[in-house]
Amino acid sequence: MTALDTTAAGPGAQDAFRFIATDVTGTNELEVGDLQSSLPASAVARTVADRMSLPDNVPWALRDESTSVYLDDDVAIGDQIVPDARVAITPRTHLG
Amino acid sequence: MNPAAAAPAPDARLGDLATIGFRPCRARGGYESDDMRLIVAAGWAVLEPKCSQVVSSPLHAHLGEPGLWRWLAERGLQRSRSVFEVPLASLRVGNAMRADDGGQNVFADVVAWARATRPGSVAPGRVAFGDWSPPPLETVRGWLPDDALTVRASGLARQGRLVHSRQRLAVEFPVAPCPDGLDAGRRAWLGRVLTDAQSRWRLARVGLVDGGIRAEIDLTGAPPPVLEALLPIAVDALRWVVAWVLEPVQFLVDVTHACADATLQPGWA
Repeated sequence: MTALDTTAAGPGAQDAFRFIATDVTGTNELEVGDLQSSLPASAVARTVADRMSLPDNVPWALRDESTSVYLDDDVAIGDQIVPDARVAITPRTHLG
Repeated sequence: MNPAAAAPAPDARLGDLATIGFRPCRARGGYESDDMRLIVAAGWAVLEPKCSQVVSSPLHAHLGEPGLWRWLAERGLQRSRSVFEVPLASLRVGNAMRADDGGQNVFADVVAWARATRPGSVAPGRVAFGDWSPPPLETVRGWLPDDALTVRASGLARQGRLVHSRQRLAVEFPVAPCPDGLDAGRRAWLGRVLTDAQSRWRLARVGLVDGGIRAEIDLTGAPPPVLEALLPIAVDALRWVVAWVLEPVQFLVDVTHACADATLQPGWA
């Protein structure tokens, strides 16, 4: 028995979405091309923070660099930015 | 006196097993009916067909089919069997609803569901349940936490989708695309990882479909009284499986990562 038969393989299973993320200092730049456009922005922000080895005890948010608008955490990233967009990952701060 | 009728049920949530045709099986332990065996242990009722089917392509087996049947590997790939597992906790709510109506134990409906979806009895994508339909979408969504369909693990993330149509209710997670040009060593390792994942956790299926690796649960045809309790349990199981396989699978399908060990054939413990 073959452990895995991929002969029936067709097109890929994911709707991968490409964008470029930078941290607020501009030190880290990361091209992301394997995340689904349907992922909520909050999950994308935490995943990007993981890949940049940013602290995991900080709430992170994404900001669209072309508009400076913060992405809505609960909305799919593909509904908020266009492919190949540049976003900045920033700590979420609450100014009192 | 019928000895089967006198045998106590292994768990009160299952009701009187004799009334639905199950009798104690001394030789194998558990219970059996004309066509299925039942084992009850550790909070789960596990049904399996008395006549096993040979699964020629295990990592495609049952994917996309309605119901909870899954393929399990034992002793590597030397032995396999299909099982239909139900958490007893999901029966409690259903039985409480049934008690209000004076109806039969809901496990009888679960067994009927297992029979209707037994391997080979339903072609993928075919309607098999007459007038069954899932509860309204908003009701189903209300049974799940907001972030239930998002899984993150080790710098990776996946978004699942709730499949809700007139005669289907399922949750699917795309794990990774599976490139056509994957070498034999990586394919073998991938098979090992996916087989392990499916055999370690209950309820979820993991395998190859449409050129990608997918994890899923399918509650199509589930008795309505158990759905509310069963869906969150099944989605939790699915999330565990996805989180567990995500990193090794992503590594194996990413051919830009050189790995000498990936060219070796995995052994089976």
